[in-house]
Amino acid sequence: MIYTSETIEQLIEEFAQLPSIGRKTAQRLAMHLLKMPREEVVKFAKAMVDVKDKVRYCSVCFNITESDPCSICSSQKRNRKTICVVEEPNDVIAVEKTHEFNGLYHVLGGALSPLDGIGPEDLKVKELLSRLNDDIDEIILALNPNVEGETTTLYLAKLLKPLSIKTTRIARGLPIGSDLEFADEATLTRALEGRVAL
Amino acid sequence: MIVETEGVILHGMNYRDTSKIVTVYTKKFGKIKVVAKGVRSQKNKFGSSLEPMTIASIVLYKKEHKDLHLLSKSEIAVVLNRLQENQERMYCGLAVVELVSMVMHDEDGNGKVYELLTESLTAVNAAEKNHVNVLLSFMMKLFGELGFGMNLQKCSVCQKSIDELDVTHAFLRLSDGTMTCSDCTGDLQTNGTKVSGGMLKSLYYLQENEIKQASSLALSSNVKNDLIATLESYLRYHSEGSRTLKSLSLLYSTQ
Ligand SMILES: [Zn+2]
Ligand SMILES: [Zn+2]
Repeated sequence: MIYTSETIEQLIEEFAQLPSIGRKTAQRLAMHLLKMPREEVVKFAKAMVDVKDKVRYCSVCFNITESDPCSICSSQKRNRKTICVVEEPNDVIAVEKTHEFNGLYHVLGGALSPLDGIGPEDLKVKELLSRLNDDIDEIILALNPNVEGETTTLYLAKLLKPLSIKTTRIARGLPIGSDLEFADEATLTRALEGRVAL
Repeated sequence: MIVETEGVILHGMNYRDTSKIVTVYTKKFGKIKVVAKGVRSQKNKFGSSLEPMTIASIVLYKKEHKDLHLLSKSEIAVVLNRLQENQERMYCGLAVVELVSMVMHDEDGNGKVYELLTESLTAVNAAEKNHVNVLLSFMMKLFGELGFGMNLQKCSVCQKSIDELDVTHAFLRLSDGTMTCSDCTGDLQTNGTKVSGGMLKSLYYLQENEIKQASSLALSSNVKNDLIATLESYLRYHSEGSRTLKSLSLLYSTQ
């Protein structure tokens, strides 16, 4: 359908550029916006501009933040002896939601993937090393349980070894609520490797 | 059309919210791209079978004249549990996969290449040491399959066989993969890349023996590095668009 308004057409084009939004959805969103009260639309537009203007990366942990250093890095209530290394800012949110971890974070900004041309120089690896000093007791590698995450874990483990700081990784294995009999061989092998004494 | 085949997972790329576009080197159709819906969601029905380096049995809806097909089923076909055990295995396994993804064209089936690929991953998984040799042997054999194999059996000038030759060095001509012994050329660099006698015999060993035997060849790290460099420049000469294997650079950056 071709709209008689160039402005609507333009908005549809913009929406359609967003990830996972096709042209149909873009049309629906544009029409919805047209029906919204003006002040709601202004609020929406402002939120989008603000995210660009105010949000940046923490210069210590590279999480997204509005103040630098971020609230976690500058908090005195956090355990400053432990650093949890993750791939993306979303992973920080996921770990925070557990309320089980009270240390600091380091966001690498991705994982090693030779086939995509992503090497150590493309990640915040140097920056991680520069944070490590005698005050750090433990580094927890919490990377995705896939080949890229595993490649990164092996790489960092080797890099950190000479520093003799305790380095751990989060466990891999079966998701809670799943059935053992439906797990595939690779998953079950990891689960067996990660078994713990009772 | 619903088709079943075996394939090696080369690469995955996130697609939409929960899916992935996966590149697979299949036994029947060569390198193809498939959409795996929901693989990144809680309801993932593919398990871990779509991780790179996995040898999987897959079922797909193959659309004629399309370059993206729909994956309906995938299961691990051969269990290779040790590939992720240490860096050397991981990086060599990834290099094998990277090489195939780099030099093979889309939807150009080659059963022999598939066989070499699975043999190589199995050998990297099984080897206790010298994992890089597996990659080198794979490269030598892949060159042959792709029509630019090296011809190391005898000197291209005096025709003396490699077994009779007792030379300190020889020359490998990049353009046609032929070898000329030092008796025939002296020290003239014009005949190609200079390779030591040891390198020459190692290359011949890796080319002639089964891939699974590659790891039993002991190579000094100097010779190993020289062999990698030689094979990489040979590949660059013959395969347009090929570049240095990133997985290998990663291996050497940590040694
Ligand atoms: Zn921070
Ligand atoms: Zn000769």
